[in-house]
Amino acid sequence: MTTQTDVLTAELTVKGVSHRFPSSAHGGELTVLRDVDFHVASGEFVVIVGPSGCGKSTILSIVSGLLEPSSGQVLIDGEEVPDRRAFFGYMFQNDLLLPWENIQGNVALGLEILGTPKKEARSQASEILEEFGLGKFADKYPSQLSGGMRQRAAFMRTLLCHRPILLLDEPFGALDALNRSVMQEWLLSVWERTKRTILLITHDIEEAVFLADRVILMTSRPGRINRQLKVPLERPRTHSILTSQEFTDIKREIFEELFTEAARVDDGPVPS
Amino acid sequence: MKMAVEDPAMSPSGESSASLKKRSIFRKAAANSGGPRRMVRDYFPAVVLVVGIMIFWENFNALFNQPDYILPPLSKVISTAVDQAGDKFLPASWVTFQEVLIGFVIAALLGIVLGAILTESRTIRRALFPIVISSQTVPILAIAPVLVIWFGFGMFPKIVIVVLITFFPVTIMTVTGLESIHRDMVNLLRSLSATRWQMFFRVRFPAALPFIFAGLKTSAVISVIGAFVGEYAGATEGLAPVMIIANSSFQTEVVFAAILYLSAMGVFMYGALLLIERRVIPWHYLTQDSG
Repeated sequence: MTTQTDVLTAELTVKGVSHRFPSSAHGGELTVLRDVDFHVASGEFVVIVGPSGCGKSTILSIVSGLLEPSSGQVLIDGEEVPDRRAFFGYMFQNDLLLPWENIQGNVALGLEILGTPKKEARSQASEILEEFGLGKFADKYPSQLSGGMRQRAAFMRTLLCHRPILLLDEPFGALDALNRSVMQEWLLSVWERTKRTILLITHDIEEAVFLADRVILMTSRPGRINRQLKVPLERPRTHSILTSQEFTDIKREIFEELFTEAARVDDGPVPS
Repeated sequence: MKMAVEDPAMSPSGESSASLKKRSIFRKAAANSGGPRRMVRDYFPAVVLVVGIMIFWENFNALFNQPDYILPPLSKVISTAVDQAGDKFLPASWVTFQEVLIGFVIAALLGIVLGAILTESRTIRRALFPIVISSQTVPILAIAPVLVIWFGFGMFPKIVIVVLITFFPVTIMTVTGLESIHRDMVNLLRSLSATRWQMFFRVRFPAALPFIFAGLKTSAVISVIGAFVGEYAGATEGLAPVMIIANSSFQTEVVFAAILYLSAMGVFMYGALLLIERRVIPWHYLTQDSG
């Protein structure tokens, strides 16, 4: 049996991915992604940051195998695989917990869908909840928990699917600023113990800098990668670094970059 | 269906401590919605209104100087309903109730299955939906006598009418419920390579249950009307023949007493559905403050 602290990880390469949607408003086709190239090393925490509508979510859909790109490749450990869905745990902004299952049942859902017998799945769910300090919520129902707790449960469900790469789509986007900080710190503590590969997307620059080993900056219309930045901040990180000089410098650099880009796009002709 | 098996709150025997705990969570939630003071506050306006209407009704003929058969006093209606219960109303009600119950159960199953089929297959939906909708535009009053010609004076044509008018709300609510899940929920399940079957029974169907129950409650009440209309077109037994005979001899107190029995039947159906709903989807009544 796999426990959560076993090493389970893989590297991800996205090569020349472009994507177009059919759209009658944009002369037949709308290019949402153009020539996106990036790499996430094994056990690395990479954050893609960019404005709303830059195609961040589309990247995750393509990476996860839910959507095939118009062109380009997604490689796992350097190879193209037939059904890459099996390599990814996918978490969304909405917790998507089932109101008729308690937290234990919800955390076990992924495993049960994947075919683990119910009893085994539930006992693994209990273990992981205990391990990460959610044991006393196992019997509660989602409607009885706060937004932050629900997101924790959703993350546990993602983690329990035993998949090497985690894709997190604005996981804390619906939380208030304070709860978001608490959750970010919690996520880092879990990641440091599990060492999965994580690709997270957000439009929150501070969140990106706080979490990431490396930040990928995206611009919109069409979405492409503008720049990549290493975040040399020491780990383990706590919220106290949020006010450090080094942190603010990196944050400013990213902000300037995205701001200039956003202003440039806003000046240009609006495609409609 | 699978829900019912999995939900320990449904099985009266062999409860584990976990399921007992689960029950107590739900019971606490249910208790929170009540409380005597709150009940007084909630029901006071309704009670005042009903009592007012009853007093007005009782004294209507005296006030407006009308003969009793125009609007028989409430006390007379009730005494009629009680005095003639054994040899008239209860046997007649039993016939009508059977039509209501059998028709409703068939309609409920038909509505849920039809709703599921309409949601799962786009082709079938395109083919079937117009027919389902146009079935609801057929005037039941016009078709009821034809059904009597086809199927005779027995229970069958009444059941057909009950089914005809009650499957529709269930179908529509089933479709709405099955389509109510979040788009990302579908993505989550797809990322887990879930089968269609898993998607339906683990997520879509349980998520649809609150909607389905809303449809069932609507249908439960109108099923009484369906049975009555069916009987009105031609029947030898049931509450409608009792009313027709009484009306033709100006025994309006009997007519109103029969209406009381019909209403009681509707209220009973609704209440029964409410109880079943609380057993099947207790989680639907949980709120955040109940933990």
